[in-house]
Amino acid sequence: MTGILREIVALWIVWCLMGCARLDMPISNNTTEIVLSAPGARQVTFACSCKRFTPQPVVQKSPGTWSVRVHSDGDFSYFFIVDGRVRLPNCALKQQDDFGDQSCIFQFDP
Amino acid sequence: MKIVCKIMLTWMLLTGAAHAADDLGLSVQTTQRVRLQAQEMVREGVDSEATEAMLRSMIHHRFEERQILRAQEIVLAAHRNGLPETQVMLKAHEGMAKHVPADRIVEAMEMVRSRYATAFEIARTLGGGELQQHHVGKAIAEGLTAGMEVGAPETIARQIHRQGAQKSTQILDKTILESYLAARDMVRLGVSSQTSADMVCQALESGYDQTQMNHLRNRFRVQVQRTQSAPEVVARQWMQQFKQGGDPLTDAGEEPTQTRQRSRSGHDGSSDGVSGGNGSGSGHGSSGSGGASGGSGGGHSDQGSGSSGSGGSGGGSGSGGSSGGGGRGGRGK
Repeated sequence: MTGILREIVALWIVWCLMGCARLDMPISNNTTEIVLSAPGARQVTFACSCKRFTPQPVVQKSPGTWSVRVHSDGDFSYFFIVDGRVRLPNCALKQQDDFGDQSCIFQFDP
Repeated sequence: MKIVCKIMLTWMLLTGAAHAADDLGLSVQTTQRVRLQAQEMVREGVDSEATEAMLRSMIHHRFEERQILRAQEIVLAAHRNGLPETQVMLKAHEGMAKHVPADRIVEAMEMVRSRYATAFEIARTLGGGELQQHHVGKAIAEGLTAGMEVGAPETIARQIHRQGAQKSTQILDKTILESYLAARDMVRLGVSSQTSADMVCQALESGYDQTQMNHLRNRFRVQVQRTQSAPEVVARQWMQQFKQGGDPLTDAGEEPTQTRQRSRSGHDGSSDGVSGGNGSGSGHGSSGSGGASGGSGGGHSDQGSGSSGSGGSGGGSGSGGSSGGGGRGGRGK
C-alpha cells in the first residue's frame, strides 16, 4: 500500500514539475523594464508578443506609475490593459494591430 | 490496489478532456474535428506547443467551431507556403488579449498571412539565398505591419534592381535588408509610407551601401528623438538634402549611434518608459539606469534609456534616463 502511494506521489510530482517547466522558460538574460503612467488605474496588466500576449502582472512602483520587467532577446510588441482597456505608453515605435488600433514595439538593435 | 489507482488516474485525465469539450459548448464530434485538424498541423511541422496554446486560448475565449477551424486553416496555409506561421498565431493571441471579437481575430490572422505572403513574394524577386529571402521578407512584412503601403516595398525593390548591377551579390544582399529595415523603422516612427520609401530610394540612388543604410536608420531615429521633431518633417529635410546632392549622415556631422532604447517625448506629461536590463554577451546588452523613474521632473521626459553591453562587442553604454530634470535617455555608443 505504501509503495503504491509513493508511486502516485512520485507521478504527481513529475506531472507538476512538467507543468512548471512549461510555465517559465527563460529566453536569455536580457531584461527590459517598461513603465506606464496611469494615475487612478485600479487594475493594470501587461501583454507582449514574447509571452504570447498572456496578461502579465504589473507592479505599482509609485502611485500612478506601473512597471513590468520583460525578458526577451528579440524585438517584441506590447501594450498594457488598464481597467479592461488597451493602453499604450508613449512609445516611439508603433505598428498597426489589424484591429483598428496599434501596439508598441520594443526593438533590439544589433 | 495498484490497478485501481491506475484506473482512477486514467479516469481523471479523461474526465479533464471531457470537461474541456463541455466548456467549449461543442459536441464531441465537433471537438474531434478541431482535434484532427490540430493533429494535421503538428504532423506537417507546426509547433505542437504553439498549436495547443492557441487552441486552448480559443476554447477559453469561446470561439465557435467554424472560427477555430478557419484559424487552423490559415495557420496551416501559412506553414505550407513557408511563411512564419508563428506570426499568424500571435495575432490570435493579441486579439484575444485585446478582447476583440472572434470573427475579427480570424480576419486579422488572414491579413497577417496575406501580408507575409506579399512580403515574401517581393523578397523572392530580389534573389539571394533562402535565409536572405526570409530576413528580407520578414523586414518587408514588419514594414507593412507598421503601416507601409503595399506599393512602397515594390518601389524600393525597383530601385534596388536599378542599383543592383553596380554591387557584388554579398553587398547587395546586405544593402537590400538594411534598406527595408530603414523603411520599416521610419514607418514605425511615424513617417508616411511614401516618404519612407522615397528616402530609402534616394539613399540607394546616392550609392548607399549596407553600412551607410544602417547608419541612416539609426541616425534618423536618434535625430527624431533628440530634436523631438515630427518624423515626417525630419524625413522630408533629409530627402531634400539627398536631392541637393548632400548627405544627411555627413551633414549632421556626428557619428551614428546604435541605441537599444530610445528616449521619448511625454506629450501628456506621463511617465511611460522603457529601460534596459542586464544584457550581457549579446553584443547589445543593456543596463539602463533610466526610464523607470522618469516623469517626476522636467514635465516631458518620460522615457529613459540607457544601454551598456557588459559583454557584447557592440554594446552601448548609457545612463539616461528620465529621473527628473527633463533628462532624456542616454545614448549608447
